[in-house]
Amino acid sequence: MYSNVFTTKESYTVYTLKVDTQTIDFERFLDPEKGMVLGTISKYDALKQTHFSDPLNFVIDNRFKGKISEKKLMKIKNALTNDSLKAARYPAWLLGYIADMRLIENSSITVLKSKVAYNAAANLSILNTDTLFYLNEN
Amino acid sequence: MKTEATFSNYEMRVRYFYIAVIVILFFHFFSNVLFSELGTPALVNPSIDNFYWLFQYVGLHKLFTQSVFLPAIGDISIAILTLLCVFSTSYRAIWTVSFTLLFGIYCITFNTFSGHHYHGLMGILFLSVTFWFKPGLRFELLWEAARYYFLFLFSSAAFWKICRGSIFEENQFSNILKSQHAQYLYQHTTSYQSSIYQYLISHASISHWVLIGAVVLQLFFFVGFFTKKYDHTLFLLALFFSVLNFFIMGIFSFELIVMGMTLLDFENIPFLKLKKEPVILTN
Repeated sequence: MYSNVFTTKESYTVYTLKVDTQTIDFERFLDPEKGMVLGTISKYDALKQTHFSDPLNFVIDNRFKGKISEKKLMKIKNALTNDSLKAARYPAWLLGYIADMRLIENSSITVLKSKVAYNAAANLSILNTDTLFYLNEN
Repeated sequence: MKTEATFSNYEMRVRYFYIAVIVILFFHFFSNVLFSELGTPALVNPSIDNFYWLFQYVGLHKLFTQSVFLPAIGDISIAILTLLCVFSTSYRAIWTVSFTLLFGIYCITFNTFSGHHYHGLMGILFLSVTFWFKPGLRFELLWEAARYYFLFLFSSAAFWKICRGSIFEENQFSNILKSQHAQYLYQHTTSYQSSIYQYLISHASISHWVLIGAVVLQLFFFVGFFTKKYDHTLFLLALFFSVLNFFIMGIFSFELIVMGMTLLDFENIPFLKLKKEPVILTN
């Protein structure tokens, strides 16, 4: 991965995770749980950008369409890809996962997505912020 | 008369390997990522990997995550199997094969649900296969293969950076760090670590030399393909690389270093030798 040439990007994506009113510091998580939380948030973000249509559907079509029955193709897609139904369950799972590991009851979760840019001294400035999702279980 | 004997090299490899696995399992337990701690994850990520496709198609990723009791049974089974592999010499082949299968399911389940395919645990998975066999030619051949694979991991990383030309780009490491640490710098603007990251990002020529140093270090692993004379040094270099990787890149690669055991000759490292209980010999 790091052997590819990395070009300078105009902006980078970062996330803010709020449970109830408290902002969670990702560095408080150990490495595997940080991967689990941030990895799934960016997965959800990528899905939202494609209107919850998993790009893997194209790959499966390329490999199997016309070679197997439609019924089997649908079965493969259902097993391997994400859709709006699975994505709809994600905020509740993330809230439950974070609440379970901290052994507390939480009622709401907010994830904000920001675009940030570096200046010459490597300080970040926020270009824009949007709400990725919000869930209140009350 | 009392005699002091040490375990065979094979037995020491078994013990050190599975003790390292126990440490890593504890780390994953405290990281809340064992089967029973995952809950019922919503999103899947098989990526473009046919093995993951097959795994998910047959529903193995759901086996230990979508019910009440099976996740706990899965975690307990991995822990018990690991202990059996360390302490039980009877039926060891059964325990070691079962461990590999269950640990393999855990690795792929974790990667499927975490949104990213981590390679750290693969070292444990590959090396665990060697212990399916008793001491002898088959075991030694597999152990050698694992050693070469570990050397390949490092040396091929250097090879790709040179062949793709990324090592010759002065802004390469600065750009990698920008991408890698944006999230950290967004949440921590004034920490000691932030100032190091910011210094390396804003001084591209200095960070370029850090990258060159890392590639040179990785190139040293080519030596291992021709001689075992420097294996212990290479193990220390791998450890050093992991420490730097953690502090500069924020990447935790210590799980993979377990595979670096293949570079250690336990019988010739006095402080790693495991002694047996002294036995009393009578005429």
